[in-house]
Amino acid sequence: MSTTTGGRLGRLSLVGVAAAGALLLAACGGGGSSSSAAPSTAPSSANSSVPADAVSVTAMPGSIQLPAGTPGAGKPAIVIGDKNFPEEFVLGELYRQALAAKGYAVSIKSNIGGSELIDTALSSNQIQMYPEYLGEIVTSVAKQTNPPTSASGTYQAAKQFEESQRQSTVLLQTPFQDTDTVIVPNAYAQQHGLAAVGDLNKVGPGGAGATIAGPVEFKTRQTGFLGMQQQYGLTGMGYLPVQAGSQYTAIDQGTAQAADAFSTDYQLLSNKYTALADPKGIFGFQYVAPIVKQSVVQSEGPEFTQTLNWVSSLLSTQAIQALNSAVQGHGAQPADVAGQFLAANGLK
Amino acid sequence: MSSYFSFFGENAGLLLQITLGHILLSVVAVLVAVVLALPLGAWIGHLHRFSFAVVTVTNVFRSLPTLALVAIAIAFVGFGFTNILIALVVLAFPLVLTNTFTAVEGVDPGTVEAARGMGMTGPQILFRVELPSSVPLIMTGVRTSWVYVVATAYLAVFAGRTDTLGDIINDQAGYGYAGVMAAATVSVVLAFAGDYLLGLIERAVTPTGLRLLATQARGVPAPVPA
Repeated sequence: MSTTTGGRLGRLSLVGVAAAGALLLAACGGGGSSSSAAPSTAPSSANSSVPADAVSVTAMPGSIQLPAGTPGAGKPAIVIGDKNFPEEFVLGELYRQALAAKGYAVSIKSNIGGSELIDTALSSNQIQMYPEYLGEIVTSVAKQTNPPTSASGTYQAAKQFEESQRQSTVLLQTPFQDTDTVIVPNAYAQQHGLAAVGDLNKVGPGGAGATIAGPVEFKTRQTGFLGMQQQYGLTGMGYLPVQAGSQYTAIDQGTAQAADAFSTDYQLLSNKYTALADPKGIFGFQYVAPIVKQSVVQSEGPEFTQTLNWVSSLLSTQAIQALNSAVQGHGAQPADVAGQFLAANGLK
Repeated sequence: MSSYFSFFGENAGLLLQITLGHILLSVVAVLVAVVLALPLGAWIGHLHRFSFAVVTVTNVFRSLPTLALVAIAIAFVGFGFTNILIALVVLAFPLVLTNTFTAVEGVDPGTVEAARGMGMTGPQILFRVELPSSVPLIMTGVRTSWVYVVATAYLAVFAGRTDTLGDIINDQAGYGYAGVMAAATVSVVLAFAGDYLLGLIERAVTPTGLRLLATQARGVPAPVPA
């Protein structure tokens, strides 16, 4: 993918570095970054990635304590599921291992499928819990045609659907979200003064002179290039269709000046790119939360919910990018990566 | 079904634009493949040597997934027309090459011997005897490669091109099944239409003698020369 001058040896030696990096990030993810920014004010100002309206439904970093002891001993066994891509494998393992360490009898069915399929698995009680992107519940599972325009609205819509239609509920959401995000090279952002998607109008009329690289279907989506044209007036921009993953190559080579990426892509850890803000929320809201059967929440007790919320509170954007880097960038096993991360954050 | 038919009317401008782009890309790819493969195949066939190496190498080429080639070529030539062109030429080249050398190599040895006995030189034999006799088989290779190329050119979207039928075929989310079916239909029509046109060209360049032979083989009495 990237320019590989180091070759195979260079890449292999990186594995150790990345694992250490993930641990480092994990170690300070508990509160280091937020406390340095604003010691005593509300957590919302300390963590810019969580919108103010969603703070009450988010497991804010540092706000949740890990329950002591093994409160799960003797509680009924449950099965966790996760979806069919690497980030979900890591999320599933994080929640499973934390619960197991707290004494809960928990097993995992990994790689179940897409949003609709795993929803069916929950409905039919083959699993009792899974981590899901809340925007996905609203659009893919509940199939609402007018998705909410705020993070809290998305959370409430997902929660209402799960409670009324699935006898399930939505626990607190993660501080990170995995959504489409427009990135540009740092130098390009400085040259044109770009901070938000709408700023691309500064490059030329309607963004003329700039080309965005992304998957071909991004071009025709309301939550994609079409929305950028209609909501931000970027009618002059060019479009470069590429395969997923190749958009980084496209802006590295200069064929495109902007790219559609996922906000949790580990490539963003390189600090070579600037992610442009989306103040109008056209890309939707994809924070993650555990979807759990209400009966399970009842029977497992409050420490169960608290343990899951504690895991969620660790997952800043940087943390999930580091986890993705270890798994997707360096081929580590999701279970190993999740275990190291939790241990570094104080899980015994 | 109704949305399938209405798609053509509602998206006529877009369809026309990307169909023309699709044709241009496919024509250039087949032309480049013919220009490269025809001389090489004819030469190998004429020499009656190296055919094993050629069969092996072309089979390797033919088995390369086009999408993988596009991805690999990004590192060397970046995104754009050249990228997808290379991938399509790699697809078409072996078909033209194999058919050409098989045809030239398979020309009746008695005919070649007779030409040599008449005092013809090697190049004369190739251009006046072997190649004319090989036209039908060579053209079969060209026609097959056209069908392959047209059916594969939609991958251009993965090389950064927004002017082929792939714009719609690869975007089921945006255009729906009706759109994908409509664009795929255009692709099929292009494949058949090109094949038909190449058939006409084949007829035009086939030597009269061969055409008469073919007609006779079908049981139609040969026209009596006036």
